[in-house]
Amino acid sequence: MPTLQRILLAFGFLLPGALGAQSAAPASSTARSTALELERLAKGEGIAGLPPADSVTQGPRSIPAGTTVRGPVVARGPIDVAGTVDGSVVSLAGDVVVRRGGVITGDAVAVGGHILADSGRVEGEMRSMSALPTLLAASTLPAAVPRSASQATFDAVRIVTGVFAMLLVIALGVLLFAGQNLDEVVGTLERRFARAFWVGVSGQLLLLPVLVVLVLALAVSIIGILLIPFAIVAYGIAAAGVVTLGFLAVARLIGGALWHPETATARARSLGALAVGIAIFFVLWLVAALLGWAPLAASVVRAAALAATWAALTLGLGATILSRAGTHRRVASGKRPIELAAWQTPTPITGVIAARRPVAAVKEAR
Amino acid sequence: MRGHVFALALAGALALVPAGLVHAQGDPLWRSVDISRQLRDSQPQRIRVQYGAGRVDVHGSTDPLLYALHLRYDESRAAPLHQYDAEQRSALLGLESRGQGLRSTGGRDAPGELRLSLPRSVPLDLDLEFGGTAATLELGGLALQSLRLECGATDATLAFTTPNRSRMRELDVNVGAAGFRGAHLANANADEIRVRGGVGSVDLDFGGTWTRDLAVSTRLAVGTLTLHVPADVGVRVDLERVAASFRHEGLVKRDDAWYSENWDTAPHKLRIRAETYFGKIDIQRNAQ
Repeated sequence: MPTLQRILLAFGFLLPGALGAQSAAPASSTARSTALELERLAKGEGIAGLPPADSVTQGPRSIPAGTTVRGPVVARGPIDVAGTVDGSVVSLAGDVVVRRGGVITGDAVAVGGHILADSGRVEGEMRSMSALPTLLAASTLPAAVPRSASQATFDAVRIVTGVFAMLLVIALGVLLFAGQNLDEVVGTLERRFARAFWVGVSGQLLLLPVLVVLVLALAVSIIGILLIPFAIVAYGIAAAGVVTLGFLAVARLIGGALWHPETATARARSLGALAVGIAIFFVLWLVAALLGWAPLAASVVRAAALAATWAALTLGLGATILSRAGTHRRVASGKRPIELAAWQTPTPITGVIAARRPVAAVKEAR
Repeated sequence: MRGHVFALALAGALALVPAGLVHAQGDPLWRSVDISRQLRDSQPQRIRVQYGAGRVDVHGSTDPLLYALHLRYDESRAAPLHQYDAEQRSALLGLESRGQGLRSTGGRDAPGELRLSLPRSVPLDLDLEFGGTAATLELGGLALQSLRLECGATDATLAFTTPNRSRMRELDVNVGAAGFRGAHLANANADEIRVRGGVGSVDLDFGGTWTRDLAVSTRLAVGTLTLHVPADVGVRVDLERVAASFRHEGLVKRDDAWYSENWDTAPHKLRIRAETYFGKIDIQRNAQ
């Protein structure tokens, strides 16, 4: 066989196949697209028993009067119902019209169209929508799909990490702008540990009554009534600030006990201690979050984390109150302020030996 | 060296926070859905509506539909609620928040929207729960047997411009931090109206057609309570207040209560029990 003839013969065999493949490509693409649309409808709109993609009518569909069709009927085009559909009717692109005498025993759904059923009967629900539900969103319906254990664990870890990341940022801010106050609260904790705890407990118990008294005091004066909402907000912010400062002080105290490099500067030591202290609480809560798959163990660890955090918050609150948010420095750190000692200046009185001025006070006065 | 490590860790934490916020925000996927159900009969029905945030409009309709609900919502945050129990004759409609945490269905100013039409021919027990919304409820002409309205941070207006077609067993309004206005409440055809509020202003207008005596109990923690009462209606006010002022136009005190001068002769009577802790109670007499 000459070469040219072989080529023509081969071409003759291959050409129909290639043409067939070309015409099949759009058909399979449409089928895939329809299958995806049906999946979105089934999951997003909760329509059960939808037919396979190849059973969907491509274009308009009509159910003549006097005929009964077993549903669901799905078409990529408008659907006209004059007969009876035993099931749901879904138009993927167009209106659903139910004529006089027409009956749909299930739902009528129109995507990108309307339901016109003034004279017909739809026993189920009529739904028209601007677009199909998004598959991703539809698959996460909270009521229908409960969260898996891994998802719940991931969410818990994410929340714990987020909270402690925020706390770390706040700690940095406190260190930069209120470092001295933090030092004083830490100092108070070191010197008046037990007292700080009981003051903290009392502070927690008095938090609400103090607010009530504040509101009542404002309410007594007529002008003060207007200030009540602002006072409530300001009180909340102040309380949150005091509690946070106290908690950071406890974290720094704990962190400082574990991490105290001798070569580092004072600021680096303070920063490191704060980070280590926060990390300890973070690890506690993180373990509780990671144990989401074991509810009993998670409850035990969470209770421990809660107890530790409450103790830290209580101690911190007490120390912050005792040191007046770290502003009452000399008293907070246990040193007597200069002015308190200075009154002891010896007064020369005849016949009396002058009292000796305390050494510390003299040094401080200089 | 260690100081650098901590500085880097802090910088990382700082970088993570905005990234997390961006992730949490997400892009909205706005979508509209119209959901309705044909009326089969005129037997009583119970309809419960839940909606988080956005604009709300509820009104009556003569269409032969049990409900016609239009929702515009962010699909990434919320999913439509539409359940109907034919045996119990009850429907649950609205929007539910998707996912966990602090995500909501949008703020009060978000373009989310719920419009609901209810039939005038069917006796209804209506239960409305709204979060942060701007709600307009025009329920005149419906046949409400009971109405319970619960609002969070809501600017809500409840109006009965035409009389309710059924005798209402109870009308219960519970608002959080919000402004609530009730208009033409005499048309509600209720025996008793209860309004409870947290912080905000509550304005109740008892205009409309009076067919029977009405008892109203209001409790507002902090805010202004204003009651507009037609001049031809007899009023009795029992007050309980802590630090609230009381403006009583034309009312006189007898025993422990305040009475209008026409209390003994008025064809219809309004008994008000007002409880306010801080703020103002204002009773205004309007010409009918």
